[in-house]
Amino acid sequence: MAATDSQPGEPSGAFTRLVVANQRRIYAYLIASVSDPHEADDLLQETLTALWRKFAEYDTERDFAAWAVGVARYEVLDYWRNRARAKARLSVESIEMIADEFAAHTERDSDMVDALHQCLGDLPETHRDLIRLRYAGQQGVSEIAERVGCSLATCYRRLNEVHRWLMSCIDRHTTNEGVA
Amino acid sequence: MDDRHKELDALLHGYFEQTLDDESTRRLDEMLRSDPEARQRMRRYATLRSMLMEQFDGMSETPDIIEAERIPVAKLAPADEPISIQRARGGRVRSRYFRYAAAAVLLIAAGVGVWLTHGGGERGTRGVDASEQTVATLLNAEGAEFADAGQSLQPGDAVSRGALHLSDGEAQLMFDSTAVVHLAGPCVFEATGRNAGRLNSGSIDVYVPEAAHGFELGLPDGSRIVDLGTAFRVSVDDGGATLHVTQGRVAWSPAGADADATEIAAGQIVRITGGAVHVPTETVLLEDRFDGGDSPLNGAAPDVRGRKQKWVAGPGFKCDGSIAGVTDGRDTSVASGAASATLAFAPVAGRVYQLDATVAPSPGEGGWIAVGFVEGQSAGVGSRVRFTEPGVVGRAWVIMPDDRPSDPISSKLGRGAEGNFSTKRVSPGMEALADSGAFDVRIVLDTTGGAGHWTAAFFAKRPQDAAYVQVRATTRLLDERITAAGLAISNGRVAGRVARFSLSEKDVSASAVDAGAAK
Repeated sequence: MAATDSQPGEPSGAFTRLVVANQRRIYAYLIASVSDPHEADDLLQETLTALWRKFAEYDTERDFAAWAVGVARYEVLDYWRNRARAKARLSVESIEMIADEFAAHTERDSDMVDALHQCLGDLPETHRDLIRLRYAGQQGVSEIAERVGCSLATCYRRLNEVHRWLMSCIDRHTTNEGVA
Repeated sequence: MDDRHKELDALLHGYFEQTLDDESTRRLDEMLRSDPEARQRMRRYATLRSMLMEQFDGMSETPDIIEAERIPVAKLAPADEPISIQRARGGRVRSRYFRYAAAAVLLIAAGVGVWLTHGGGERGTRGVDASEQTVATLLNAEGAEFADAGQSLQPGDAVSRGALHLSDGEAQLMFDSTAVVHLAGPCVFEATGRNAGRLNSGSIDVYVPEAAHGFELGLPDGSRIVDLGTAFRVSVDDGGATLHVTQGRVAWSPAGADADATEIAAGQIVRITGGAVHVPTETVLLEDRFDGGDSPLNGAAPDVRGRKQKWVAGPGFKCDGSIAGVTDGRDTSVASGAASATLAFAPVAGRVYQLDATVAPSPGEGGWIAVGFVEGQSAGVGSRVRFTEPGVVGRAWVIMPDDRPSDPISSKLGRGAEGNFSTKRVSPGMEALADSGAFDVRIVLDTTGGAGHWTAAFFAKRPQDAAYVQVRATTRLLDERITAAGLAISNGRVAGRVARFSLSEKDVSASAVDAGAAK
């Protein structure tokens, strides 16, 4: 496609491209920090708002996702500050260290994406169905258990095993340890 | 599998499934704080979960589960039991635009709008590639197939001026102006400027936030559609174009005649052909105002009907519009007492159908009321009549839960989770619906694209509001076998009221276009 007439001084296009290209890593950090994908959705919007406001401060030499995770960290800490009494939450120290882990990991995750596609294809059909029900159907474990006819404990254990199998399969397909 | 991480993985699984107790959470926290390898595994596990959400978000292909819902589950390794699951027939894998692309779109639109309105401040060029010769960004192209092998675009890629040949699937572009164009293949669309495009063939949806007012769309006949603050859908075929304005207003001008612009408002569907705008004939096919008594709806005739249709309805649906599910106590399944009420309807090509209903679910315990286009009719009860299973199965439908979760409306394209699209915090204006006790829902079924290209668009509002909110972009149907339209309840504990149900048809085929101007 040919060249165009973009407007200098209007960073929205560049910002959008950076966000879209890095959103998976940003979102992964958010769900690691809060576990609930719906809460992570809200935090994503708030993080993007903060990133947009600070975009003029962004150093283009720096990995965008690393910078974005740094900004997201404060949104996460605010989130938990407002829920000080919430149970089943990680400590501030863990959240900070997880942010550091995500920020330090700068390699592209495209290899992991490709590996996931292949591993899902290698997964036995029944186990792919479990994953599909969990993620496409957005069904909880109890609903899945009723649908497929296993006990709640068995279904829960199966889902754990499938996730572990996928992690192991992705490990085998990706070339370097430490790549996403 | 490596057992080193068995304990950690079990804790991570529980963490993400939100089933950990305090002690287990503390154990996980301790591992994360003390072990870098644990933090690395947490990162990779979270990334896996994120990718799985992305992979399956709105995915269409689900297996047919034969006979009863209970099936044996195979062992993990090796599989040594035959599993009685069959692959779904047909139904391509197709993903929807996933949650964070939509979030980014809304955010950017709002953020840039505010910045431009209030003059921003000194923003400089840091973070901006001033030499970038692009007009748009590809937000999403999951499932997209481009006719040109060189057009293998990925989300986040810059898009410069030129034609985009989308042979299948869907793609979203956001112009640098923040206007968003959603393409449904097959489609040929050109980005002609940072706030302008041209549709050569196929269908697109256009969303124009305040910052991008004035977005201009060219058509093959040389005419132009200029946004006046709006969202609209355009389909171009051999005979002309069909324009459906879903929000705001647009101005249409014939080729070389800006002074003759015609304004077209939200809710209007017009046909553009022969250098003019035409209002298609509209016919009400079915309508029921539910002003009858409390007799059963089954067998009753609607107020307006074209072919002597009568309601085929399960117990619980009354002629006065009241809905009160019935359970017999013996069926203890989740869907016990599920029922539907439908009117026979067979769509034909070349039409735009509009299904409207006003529904008020009574507060309940996690059930729902559904409205939509379906295949099948039944006066029975059970899971096979509530649009989620073969029997009476939904093809373009919405559900309205009765327990006020954060998803007031969910739209679906098939059984179960097929084509599911949750509207939580994604569609602008959805917040207003969150606490509403009643909904006006509208589903627009467009058959003008020909077999295999039927689409549905979904709208909703509170009864007291004037304008509908589009709760889902125009989406191609997964299955075009439609034989009825109606309502359903998820189980016998659901109650509520339907105040209005109507189905109208707009004939936009070339032979039926009226030679009249739009209002």
